Amino acid sequence: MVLPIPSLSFLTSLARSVLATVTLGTLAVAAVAMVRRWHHDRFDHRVKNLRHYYGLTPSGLLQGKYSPQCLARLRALPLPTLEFLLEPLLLKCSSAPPLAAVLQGLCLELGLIDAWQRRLLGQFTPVSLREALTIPDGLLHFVSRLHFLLRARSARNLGLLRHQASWPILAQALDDPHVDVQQVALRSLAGLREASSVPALLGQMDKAVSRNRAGLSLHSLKASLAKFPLSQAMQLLPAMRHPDPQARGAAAEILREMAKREPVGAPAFSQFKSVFDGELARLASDADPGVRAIAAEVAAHLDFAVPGSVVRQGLADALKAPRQPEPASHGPSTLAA
Amino acid sequence: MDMWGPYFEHALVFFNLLILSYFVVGNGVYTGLMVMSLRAIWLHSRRSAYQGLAELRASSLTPAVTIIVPAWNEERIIVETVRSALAVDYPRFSVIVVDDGSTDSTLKRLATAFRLVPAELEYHPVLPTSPARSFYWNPHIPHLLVVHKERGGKPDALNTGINLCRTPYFCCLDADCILEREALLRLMDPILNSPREIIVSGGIVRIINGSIGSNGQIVKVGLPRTSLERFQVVEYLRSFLTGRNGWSLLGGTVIVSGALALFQHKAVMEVGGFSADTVTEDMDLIITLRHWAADNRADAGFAFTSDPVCWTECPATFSMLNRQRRRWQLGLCQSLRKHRAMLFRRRYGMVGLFSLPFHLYVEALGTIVEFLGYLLVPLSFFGGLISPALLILFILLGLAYGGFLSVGAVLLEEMTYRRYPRPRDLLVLLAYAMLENVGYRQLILFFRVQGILKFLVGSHRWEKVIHEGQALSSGPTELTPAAAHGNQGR
Repeated sequence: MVLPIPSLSFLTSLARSVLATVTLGTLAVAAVAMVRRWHHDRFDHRVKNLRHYYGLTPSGLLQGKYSPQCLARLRALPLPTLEFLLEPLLLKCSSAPPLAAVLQGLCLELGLIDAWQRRLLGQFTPVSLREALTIPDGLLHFVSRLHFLLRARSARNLGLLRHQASWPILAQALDDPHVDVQQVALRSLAGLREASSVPALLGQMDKAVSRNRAGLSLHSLKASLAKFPLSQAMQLLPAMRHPDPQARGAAAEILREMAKREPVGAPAFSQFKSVFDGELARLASDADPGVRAIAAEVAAHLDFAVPGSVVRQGLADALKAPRQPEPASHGPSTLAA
Repeated sequence: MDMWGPYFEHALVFFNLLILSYFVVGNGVYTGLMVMSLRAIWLHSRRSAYQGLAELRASSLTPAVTIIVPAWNEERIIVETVRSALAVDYPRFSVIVVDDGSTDSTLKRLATAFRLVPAELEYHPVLPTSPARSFYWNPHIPHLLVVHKERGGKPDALNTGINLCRTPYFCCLDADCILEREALLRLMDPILNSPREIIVSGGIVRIINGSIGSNGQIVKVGLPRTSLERFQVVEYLRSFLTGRNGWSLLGGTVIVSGALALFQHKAVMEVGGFSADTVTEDMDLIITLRHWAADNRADAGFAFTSDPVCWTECPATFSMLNRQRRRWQLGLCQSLRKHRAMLFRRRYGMVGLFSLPFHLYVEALGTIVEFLGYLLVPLSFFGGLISPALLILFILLGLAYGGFLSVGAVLLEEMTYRRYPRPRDLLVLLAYAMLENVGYRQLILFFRVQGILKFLVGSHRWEKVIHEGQALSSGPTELTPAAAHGNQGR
């Protein structure tokens, strides 16, 4: 009989070749895994020693332990190595503001802030292959498609250091081609709370409600804008009159979050109340039930002069379509009611 | 050759070609998934350097989440599981434990450990469930509620939790799992940062056996002692890091482990909650949601992230492993039958055209083909249809390719998360990855065939895997202040 397969010898040689390839591939993959582990452990050890040697520890920095000689030695290090040495310290900045101040000074002196700003603008400092190979992920510098990772890290670092002067560059990065960079720039801007950056964020919100499936999410924009102080609430007025109900609802939510942080009797709160009483009353009667629901929640929460019937209607809308209910508190009073 | 009738001979040839096609398609797709996962996981681990978890944690706009823990006869581990759920690092969450009519001391242990007292609550279910008998809470842990209900099965217990859920998202957590502290934040991250509406976000499950737990958290990660458990560690790495991640990248996710998944409450209510039609309610719900999303709202997204982790205890005995795999295979077949209308339909996109057909061909039918292959390929050899050299080469190729995929998964782990810190652990994992296809794979195949037989005879029994609870019960029993008060209502 004739087998419907090419030929036995062909199949045997094919199987033999594939087997050899697969076996070699398996051994190569296993070797890569082991080499990576060895390299990683060795690198960890080296970095630990370097940090200790240069006094790059939180306590060392806070006590001003780095000397001019030490600074000179640090300046001699390649940029990727410097970044790698400082990265763990930068990550501690959010929980230790004094450390951020010290590190900001150090990074300025070492030219890192300038390098990060330029990187965010797409201007990369050339790095030699030898330098790149000394640190993990150093080869990222040579793959332009992965440069977004470096740009995003730069945006993060500027935000972590609270480098106020970088806000225009961060605002520009909101239009970066990669969404990761946009997101990190957004968070950094929210951390800086620079009043002049609010229009840029509101511009992004405008884009977020009008486009589909691309760019920054409405939630991340809301969360970032909500971090600004109540004194910036006036800038939300155009958003509250936006033709898109999502933008109006988002503006009302941001307003609520801004107001929640301010004591009710505080001057900023009174000033804000006089401006937004009417706006919220208008939103509480909005054509969109979702907007009505949020506006009523905000009005009720802030004790605004919105008519009770309007608030009741809005709260009824909220019950029908809850956008973000409060966390469940399963005490008997809540559920039994 | 005279003893072989021509029909039987043709059938054998056809079957050999079928095995070859199964081998090529299965391994080809898995290799493709591995390559895609390698890139995606590498990128994800780099992106985590600037992931805004701190902002999510601090934001008052981060949606509240309810963790639903269904439990039936889980007295050995339930306290640790609830403790891990209460210790989760998330701004606003609550925990609902649904005791599904346990006959052991599950409820008693919970009541003792968390000093629970009866609560007078009214239960008005939206999703139909068996009646709730009683509620328990502790005023000092206001975000914990324990419901004791009549036995109705796991889907019923989950639906009870969904009925009581008052938050826009809920997370299902199996009663034998330990949730990592940041798992909820990581699950929520793609939901909040995506411009699309994400209705399901899944994470990965790792094996706890061999690790040391304390106070509801893993304090030291290690490998289990027995070979059976170690093979499962490799298998989980391959399944989650390669398989689930790859399918997610293709937009063809049909399995998100019910042990750790975050669901949009509204969407799950729309599809009627978990169904008892299959014994793998998690897979069934995902496919149902896919079906519903395609029929109603084309833009609903399904996310899978490789770093939110929950730790689960894998079966340590053959009988328990058999039960588990039988059930998984039975559930797969039931789900494929239930959703057969989606197969090869363009309307359901990648799921209908590729993912479900692949699961049908390779995961369901492939099990039978592979099993018969172990019987018929030797028969072909004895009948002179396959040369000895080709037979040996084919067997070696099968073993080597399986080893390659498993070793690739270990490399993925090594390149990204490195959860097993000791160099020795890496060597052990590599060794087990290479050996996984010699013995263990055949054992699992045998269990899966039993699952298919159960499907064919129409069985619908949910087989419980009894856990030892060794890794989870090693810690002290006192609640941490954070667990008792820390995260509620912030």
